[in-house]
Amino acid sequence: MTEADWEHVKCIFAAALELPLGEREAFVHRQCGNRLDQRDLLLDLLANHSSDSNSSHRSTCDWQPVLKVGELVTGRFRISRLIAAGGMGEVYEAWDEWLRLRVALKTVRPELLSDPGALDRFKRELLVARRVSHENVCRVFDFVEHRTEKGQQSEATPCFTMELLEGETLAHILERSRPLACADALAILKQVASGLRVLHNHGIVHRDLKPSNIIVVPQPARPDRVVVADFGLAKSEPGEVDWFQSATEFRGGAPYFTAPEVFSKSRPGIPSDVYSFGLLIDEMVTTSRAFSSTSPQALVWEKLWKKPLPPSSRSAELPPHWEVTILRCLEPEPSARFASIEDAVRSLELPPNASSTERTEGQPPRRIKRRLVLGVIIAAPVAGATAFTALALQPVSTSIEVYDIRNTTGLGEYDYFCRGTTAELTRQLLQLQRLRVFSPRISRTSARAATPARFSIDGMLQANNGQIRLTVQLSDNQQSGTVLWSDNFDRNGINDPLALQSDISRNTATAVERQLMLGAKGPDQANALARAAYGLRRWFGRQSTGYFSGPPTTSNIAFDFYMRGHHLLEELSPQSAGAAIDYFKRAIENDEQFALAYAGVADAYMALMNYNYAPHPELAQNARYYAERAVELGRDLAEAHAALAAVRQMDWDHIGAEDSYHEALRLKPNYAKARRWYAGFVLQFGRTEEAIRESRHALELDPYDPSAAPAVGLYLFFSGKYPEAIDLLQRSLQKSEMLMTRHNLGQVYAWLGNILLANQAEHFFGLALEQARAIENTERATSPDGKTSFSDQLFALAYALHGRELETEPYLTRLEADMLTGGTSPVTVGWIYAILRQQDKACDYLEKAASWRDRRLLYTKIIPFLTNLHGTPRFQALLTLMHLA
Amino acid sequence: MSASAGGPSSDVTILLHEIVRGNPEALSELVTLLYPDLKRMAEHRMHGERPDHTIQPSALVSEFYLQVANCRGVDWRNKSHFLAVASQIMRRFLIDYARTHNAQKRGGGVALFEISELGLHSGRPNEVLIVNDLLDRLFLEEPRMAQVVEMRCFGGLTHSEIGEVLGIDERTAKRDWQVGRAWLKTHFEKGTRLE
Repeated sequence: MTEADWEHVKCIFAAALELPLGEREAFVHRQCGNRLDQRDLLLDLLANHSSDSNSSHRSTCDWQPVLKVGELVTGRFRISRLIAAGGMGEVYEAWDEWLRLRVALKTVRPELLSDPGALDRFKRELLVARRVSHENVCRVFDFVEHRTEKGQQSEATPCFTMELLEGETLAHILERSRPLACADALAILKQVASGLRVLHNHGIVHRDLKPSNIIVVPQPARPDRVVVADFGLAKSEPGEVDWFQSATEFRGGAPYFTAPEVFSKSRPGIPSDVYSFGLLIDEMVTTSRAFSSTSPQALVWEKLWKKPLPPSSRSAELPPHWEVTILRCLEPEPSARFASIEDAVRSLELPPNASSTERTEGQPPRRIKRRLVLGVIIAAPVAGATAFTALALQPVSTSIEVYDIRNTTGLGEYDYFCRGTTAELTRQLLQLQRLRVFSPRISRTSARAATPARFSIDGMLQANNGQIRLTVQLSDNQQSGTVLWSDNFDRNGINDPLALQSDISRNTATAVERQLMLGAKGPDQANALARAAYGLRRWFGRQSTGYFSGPPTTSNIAFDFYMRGHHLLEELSPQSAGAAIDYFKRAIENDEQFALAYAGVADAYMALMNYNYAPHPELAQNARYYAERAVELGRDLAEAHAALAAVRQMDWDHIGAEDSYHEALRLKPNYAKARRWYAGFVLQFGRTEEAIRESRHALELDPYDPSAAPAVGLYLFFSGKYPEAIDLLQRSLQKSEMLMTRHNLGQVYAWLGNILLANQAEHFFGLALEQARAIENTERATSPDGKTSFSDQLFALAYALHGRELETEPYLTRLEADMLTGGTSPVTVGWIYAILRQQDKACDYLEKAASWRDRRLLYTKIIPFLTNLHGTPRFQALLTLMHLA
Repeated sequence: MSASAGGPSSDVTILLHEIVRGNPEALSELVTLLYPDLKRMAEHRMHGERPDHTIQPSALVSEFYLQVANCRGVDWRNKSHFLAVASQIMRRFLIDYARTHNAQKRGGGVALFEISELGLHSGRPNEVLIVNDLLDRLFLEEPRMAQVVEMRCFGGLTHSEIGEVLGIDERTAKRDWQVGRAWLKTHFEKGTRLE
């Protein structure tokens, strides 16, 4: 047949399909006339035509539920009804005849677990999932096998039981009321996030997060409970189970919510859930989908090669930071997404621009822009600003606000450039003599207290067809925001951040200087600008004046990874420390000589050891290796020496540690963190005056370092300066709520409850319990496993110090159990036994801790809780062992 | 895919340019170039698949497509090229697999493919091979229709995606599919009867 013949056949075929069955044959006869070949072909074709709807899904037609209502599974679970059937199996409601409660029972298609390896893995995963107990996670109970006899053979259906949730899936809710208002969406998302956080903490990646796996359960007189279901079972080793998983998912439809890398060989990780979380947010607050493809094939392509349709184009009133958050979650490259679900939620919660609540009365409304990060108040002459002494300026107080460089590109990959530059700016300004620097963490509070800054600097990053433009401007807030200077820096993408910053530095510093000479309206302003220019030069002039104390790296990629790691490490959580290690190591992969990145890895390993007190020889070993490498590669790098000092301190090499601290501080005298660490170091030996001096200095250099106040408070306490300790810790708590601060404050109170008399002792004992209770509440609300290690420690200390042994007992028992999983250090337990005058037990624990060089032992010589051991031979031997005698 | 999945990336780039310029042979050359590594990947996946278990190619497809999409050195900015190449690679793999394993005993420890889109339900282990031969025949008779059926059966593409790849409208793609499917079924049944 010719092409034209085929065209004819197709037309007749299509037309015939429009007719009732009985009329088709006659129609074909009429149309084909004497073309018998066409007629026969068409009759055959029509006989074999089947409509799309009934041809492809035979399986759904022959589908039979595995279990019947009333059936008893494993002699225990009585089936009440079928709730749902999906790709993986079916879900039933069942009555657990043993425990007398209703449960959900899920069957798993046997073919999904056909080989023994898959079944074993599945059981292992269930075991992990069973350990998860959290309000926002559907509880998994038991694994059972349902056996049925089929003729001679017995067939087993794997099943597991779960918490029965009586609610509605988010998918149903969205069918009815999409889009949700942002506030409603956020309330749901926060609960989803806290469920996911718990799963991630248990090493479980959900992999199949989607609205139909989120159940909203109404609760009387309380907000709805949002539960993440169907988790964990999706997570698996790469291999066959992956294969099955994908096979079933696609049978159920296109995997719209799944991150592209989930189908690849690489093991899906937290970023895969972050991706799905992004699509989940998008699904809740927009009116249509981010990717238009319908087949799995095209979806894969679209997710990897196309940008999602901007959420704002699909939602009338979406706040810009929601859009930014969604897009960042949907980065094709997992490492470009948020490192954790919490980060994504935080980004939804905190609009980057100043909200109206931050304004004080009588203060002019601020322009809407990303509110920074820091205001700098210059309170006294700048020692190094000799270039400007010719102006004979008098010292004045003024301030300059530096706003975050706004990333308006919509491209998450540039967030780090913007955030990293701002973070480094903060650090760099801290290096300046006698500068007061306000950190991002309290900028809103401090901005309220301070008058609006006199000057401000802001920056904005834009992108157009691959071209990048960074605009920087300096304005005078007292002249209604008159722009004193502005400049653009155009680049073809930021593939060379170092060169870009160098370019900015030259131009900005020159421009500000010129502005200073020409535009100054008087000595005050000139003076202020002089100092601003100085700061700017220090900031931007990174290559000439040393951004860090050594040349960082010539590799832009390595530098980018370093900045990401650095940023994460400051978040003070075990997860972020772990992620920081990955980034630092990737920086090293790109530049093996990058000393600063080695120091970063060492710091991060040390930080990890602070989050878990179990012995971690491999972490210590790694920290040691990387710190030593850092010093080898960067002999003039303060960060490297400080990292090595901390490692040596851990290893009780006090002489070596002191040398390294001295070297770090010689290289960089205003290095706040090193100075704080050094304060702790000298305190070990009872050099209290020096410790207090150093820690005060550290606090002045970086008053809002979140770890500083609790640490310095403790040093003050150990040095016997109780009122100062209490004052500092209380003030710190007013600024930011941290468990560590409360814990340390509680310790001071508990101690005062011990050494003071009568009423006063009671008073402080009460205050200590108050802190312990506050900690307990927070722990109960936030701890993934419901553990209350922190408050248990404080309760035990307080009761023991107050001589109430009986009440100490239960806490002590819990702590001893908690010690096995690393939640509590044996050192803490040793303290409590020492207070209770059970010297041998106390020494047992301290010696045990010494066997793996527990870092909590550092203050053994001076800590007041161990006074009862002083003079005993075992304690003396311990001090000798630690070279503290 | 972590390792390079194509040959030297410069070859890939040249072939992509050729496809853009309309050279019809470039597409099949690109498929040939990318095929070996992708085949290794897919066989690895199939290894350990349950014996006697029926698999639908569409279940393999997404994963397979991701591998294609991640081939180092290939700039898939053009969706049509990507979909066309990937569905051809997919077909080639399924046929290879069925040939190799059907040479062993029927049902002898290999998974069976069933092309659900055709609704043949033949239960024959060599179903996919027969369909392949028939598709070759159809290609000689009416090439576009054969391509539509190939993309639908082996690539799992929707009518609108097929339309995009072949530069025809969605309705035409759907019509070609309906006729092509009926043609395949007709000849499949006839072949079965003859046996």
